[in-house]
Amino acid sequence: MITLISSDKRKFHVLEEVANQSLTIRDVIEDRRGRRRADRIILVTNINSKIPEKVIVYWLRHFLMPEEIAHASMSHKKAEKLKKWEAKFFDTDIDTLNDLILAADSLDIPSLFDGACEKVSDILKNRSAEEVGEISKIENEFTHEEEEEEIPSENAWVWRNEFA
Amino acid sequence: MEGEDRISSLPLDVIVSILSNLEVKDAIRTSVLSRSWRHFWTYLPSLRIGRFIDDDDADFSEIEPVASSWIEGVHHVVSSLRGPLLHFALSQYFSSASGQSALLKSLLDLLLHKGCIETLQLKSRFDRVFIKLPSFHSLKQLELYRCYLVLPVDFQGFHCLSSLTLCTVQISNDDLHLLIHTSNKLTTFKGGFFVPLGVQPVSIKLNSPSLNYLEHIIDSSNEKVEVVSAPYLEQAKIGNGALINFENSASSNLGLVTSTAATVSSLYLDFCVLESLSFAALPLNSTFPRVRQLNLVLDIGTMDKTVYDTFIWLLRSMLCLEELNVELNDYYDINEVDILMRELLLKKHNGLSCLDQTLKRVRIGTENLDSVLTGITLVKFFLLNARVLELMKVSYWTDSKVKPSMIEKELQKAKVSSSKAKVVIIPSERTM
Repeated sequence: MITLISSDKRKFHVLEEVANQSLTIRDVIEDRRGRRRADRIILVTNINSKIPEKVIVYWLRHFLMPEEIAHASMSHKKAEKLKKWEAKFFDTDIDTLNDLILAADSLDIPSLFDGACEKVSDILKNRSAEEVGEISKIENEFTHEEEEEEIPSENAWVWRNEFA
Repeated sequence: MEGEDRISSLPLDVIVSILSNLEVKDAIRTSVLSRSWRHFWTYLPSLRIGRFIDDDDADFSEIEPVASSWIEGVHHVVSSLRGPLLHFALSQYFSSASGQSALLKSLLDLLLHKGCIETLQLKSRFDRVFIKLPSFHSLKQLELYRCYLVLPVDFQGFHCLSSLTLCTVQISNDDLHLLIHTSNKLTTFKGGFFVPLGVQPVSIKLNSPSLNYLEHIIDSSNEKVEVVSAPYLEQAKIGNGALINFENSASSNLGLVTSTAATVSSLYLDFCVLESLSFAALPLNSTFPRVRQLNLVLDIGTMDKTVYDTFIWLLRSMLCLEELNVELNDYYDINEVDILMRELLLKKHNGLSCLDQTLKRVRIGTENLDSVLTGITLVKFFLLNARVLELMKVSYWTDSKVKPSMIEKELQKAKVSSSKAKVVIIPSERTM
């Protein structure tokens, strides 16, 4: 059993096999193998307690069907089910996705990282600059002239619909 | 946390992976979001421009007019990049008339100048485009569709190239040999629909020390494919694009099959290849000692004695075959197998070692199982003859009129040799 401690001091107990999905944790455990029990506690700083919860839920779901995921051998039904589950899992606000990406990046969980990045991309897809600015709260500090003329003319074709 | 911009504070590589999931034009459009976002897209490691869904059958009258300046736009995008560009894919309507070849050449030169490109995919969606390929030193994967290909005089070879795909490409035999011969790390070759240059037939000689996967579609009768040496070849897929008989090329096909025999562990052959194989004298003694998986496209409705002989010859020569996938074609609306064929197939066969000892899994898939009999004859053949069979899968499209119960009823009478044999009937959904 491994203990993860979040930045707000909550403890999470996870089976080693499950936590192994994080390549970072796997390496840390490998390094500390054979040492005292206290060394099986891993501090997950700069992540609040909401995120380890979500990450562990994700791990458990994926742990239940190991290996198969990457292969076509997984039955059609199972794949559909997992897809549905992931869609629901990632259906959350952009702040949580942000945290998930950061967690997946620092814990090195490729599938979670890709899934969350994809979801953010989906949220930004097919939206106008204003909408994207609003969703992501990116502050637009361009001057009016820059916004109207200079920048769009840099790559004019992306603003006309020349590419299908 | 409310009202805080948190995406912008993510590390650059994370932002770039988010942008990578967007279409290129949407990624570039993020440049208007704010000052810091203005240049994020210029670190994209991969650009895919154009439409890549396979719509070759699309009606050409539907082609939307594309402004002729688009290629200059792409040029500008590539030259604006600040990070290394690793993957570049372009699928567009080139037209030979408007001088786009020259523009494409300067685009390729620009890519060469950037110096780190690993994957290059160029697809002309209508007219064939003229491509003069510079020597990309770091290129690992090259895919070209519909083009005239010319190598430069001082071509030095792609020394890192591991995967080469050429489809509907017109290239001189000398250049083709040079291209394949200098790529000494080539592991995958996919070719097909070569267009002869002048009167000379297309000749492809594969002499590759590292080749592992070969896929070739032979489309015209004056195309010669020869595997001279490929000691590491494991998978071969040989098919015919146009589904016509081409008796003239029978011998060259055969050369391809038998010279790959020693090392290949997975083989795919389609019906026309079987047909042309049978025209030549079969090398009765040659075997495929390592083939464990065989995929066949069969046209059992028009199967005749010679194809049947080839089929049996294949089974006899594959000494340790474990898995067989048969895809049945039903192009000719023939509902019943020829009576003679049925008799031959439903006979007990002896002395085929893979049937006696190794064949465990068989899948018979049909595109159109409205005629139960065609597929069922083959199912019965394997139930009767495969003595260690464990799994027999029968799959068919759900939109055909057949019900699983009809197949079950038909199979109740079948004789089964293996005690472990399990029959599974799977309706599959049409994915096309």
